Amino acid sequence: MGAVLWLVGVLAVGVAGVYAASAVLSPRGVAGSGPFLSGAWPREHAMSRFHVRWYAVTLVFLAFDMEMVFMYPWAVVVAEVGAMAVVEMFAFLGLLLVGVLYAWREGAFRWA
Amino acid sequence: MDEGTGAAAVSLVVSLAVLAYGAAALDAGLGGARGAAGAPLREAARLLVQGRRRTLVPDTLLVRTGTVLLPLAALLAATVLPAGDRPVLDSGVGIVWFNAMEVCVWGALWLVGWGVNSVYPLIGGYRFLAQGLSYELPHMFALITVALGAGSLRIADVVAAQREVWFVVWMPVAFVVYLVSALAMAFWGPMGEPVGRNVAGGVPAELSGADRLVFAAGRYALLVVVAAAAVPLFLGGGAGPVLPGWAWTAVKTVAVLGGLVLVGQRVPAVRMDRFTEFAWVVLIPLTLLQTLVVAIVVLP
Amino acid sequence: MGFWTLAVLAVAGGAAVFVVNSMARATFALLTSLLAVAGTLLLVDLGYVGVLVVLMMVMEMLVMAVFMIMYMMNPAAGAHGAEDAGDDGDRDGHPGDDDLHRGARHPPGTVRPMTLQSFLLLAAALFSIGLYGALSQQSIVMLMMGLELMINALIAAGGAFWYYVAPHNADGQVLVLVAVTVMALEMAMGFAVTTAIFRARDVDLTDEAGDLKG
Repeated sequence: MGAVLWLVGVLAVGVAGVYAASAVLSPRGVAGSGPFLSGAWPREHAMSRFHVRWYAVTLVFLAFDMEMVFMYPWAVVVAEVGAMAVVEMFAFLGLLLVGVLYAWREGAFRWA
Repeated sequence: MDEGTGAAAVSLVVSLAVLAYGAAALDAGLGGARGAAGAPLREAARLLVQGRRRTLVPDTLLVRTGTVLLPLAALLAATVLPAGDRPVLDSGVGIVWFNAMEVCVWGALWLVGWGVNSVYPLIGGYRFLAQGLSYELPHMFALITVALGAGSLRIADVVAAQREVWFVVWMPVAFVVYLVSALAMAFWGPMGEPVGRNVAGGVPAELSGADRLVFAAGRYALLVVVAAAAVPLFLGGGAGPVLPGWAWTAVKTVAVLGGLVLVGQRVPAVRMDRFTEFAWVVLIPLTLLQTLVVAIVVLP
Repeated sequence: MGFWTLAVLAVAGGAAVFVVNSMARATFALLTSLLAVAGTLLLVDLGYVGVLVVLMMVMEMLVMAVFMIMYMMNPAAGAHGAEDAGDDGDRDGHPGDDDLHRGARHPPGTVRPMTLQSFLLLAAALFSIGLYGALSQQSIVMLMMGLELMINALIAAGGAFWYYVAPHNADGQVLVLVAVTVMALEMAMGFAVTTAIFRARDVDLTDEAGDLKG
């Protein structure tokens, strides 16, 4: 872990160096400007409500994502536990895939 | 920190920097720039002397955090990869560590996209999240297939398990899926919509000067790391005739990296609303099938 | 020393969730707290669980950010002093906020060794902040952040109990994994319900969704 911290330190020094060089070399001051909108005038706040059309995907993702919590340890012990481990895990995956199938039928994966 | 680890850390920093520079130069060359070998250097110099600008009421804390997080995530993900004969961090859960660090890129892009208070970067950040929701699961299943084949989450064990036959030979689907997700992770080429031209450069559109330089460097470092990870995971690590291990690792890494850069220049962009459906309906069942095949093979 | 640094970071991040004015900052303050707890798990030989918490929480907090913006109008407006009278407004000005913030920090002073007690102290602090959030917040997303802080405390305490009480038994680790799963479940359920009610009635505050109140 010490070596990792050392690497992070090296990166920190490097990034600080870039910012310091920029501060020294670039023209004084910071130009305040509006957001770049191909020259158009911003008519609304950038953070105004944003329609995320794929939010249904995020819910399916959360379910499948949790599968990983159990699947990483599973991968290590398959050879020890034997066929039962494979059957159980893929039955679980099968159940989750039924959910994916349902979401697909509902058109959750296509939003344009 | 003992001597071997120290040497590994130094070689990691140097090789990451050299390869990232090489990737940037190759990309410039393929893009038709003259004097491509010096192009990244000229671009860095341009950004360093560039006047800084800022948008109206940005959340500077979030923007800086996101910008610096990008190279940091690449560096931390690289610590478990054996550059020479050993990695800097010989973790028993190296594959999960790699996965976790690479996921930090989600946060980095969204923070930058949100923080600058501008529409196009925000759209870029959202695009990357949609991309993440699509590529991450096939990617994880590819990694799990590798762990399953080796019976371990330690990357050194994965390399050792490939002494006789490389994983790419009997896990071709997982390998291809890994390469696709590698492009997506580094938002590169066909998966580069989060920084696409149709949103004026997307996430880094409002970054200038040092911020932009760190962001770009981090992206190239990320590309190098995802390419380098393919070598111990699928291509036998340092295995090969005549040459020493580190040389083979370097040769294979450069080959994969060159392939990714070439794909980035030659393949058109993929729309995420199409790719999401493809990923969930085709890639996930396909990788699961691959996992099943490997699971049956490793059964005693 | 490493433990106390992470513990202070976890508690400070947790407290910041209910202090800062920007929803984006609140989300990432919560993420800081979660990641700091993951760091403490790495200190007690919970390699897999610790790294897994990092992996899962980064993704979950980004999903949270997506939903947060879907429900919120101009959530960042408060971040720069331009106060919104709406749902941002009631998150500041709580008289208890500052006391909570200060009281929750452990002054490291003399560096004490890391013990089960210190982990439980951390867990208790996180749980209290989470409970405060879950009880005091009206925005459903903020309320969920409170719940998540409480589960975060559970993860810290569960990991410590495994390490100090029953390290030869894998059950404790599995319990922590279940807590991580519960957190994702809470998010998936919470967002599904909130999205449904938000679509139907444009509501994301608990007080306006009191239909089932007896």
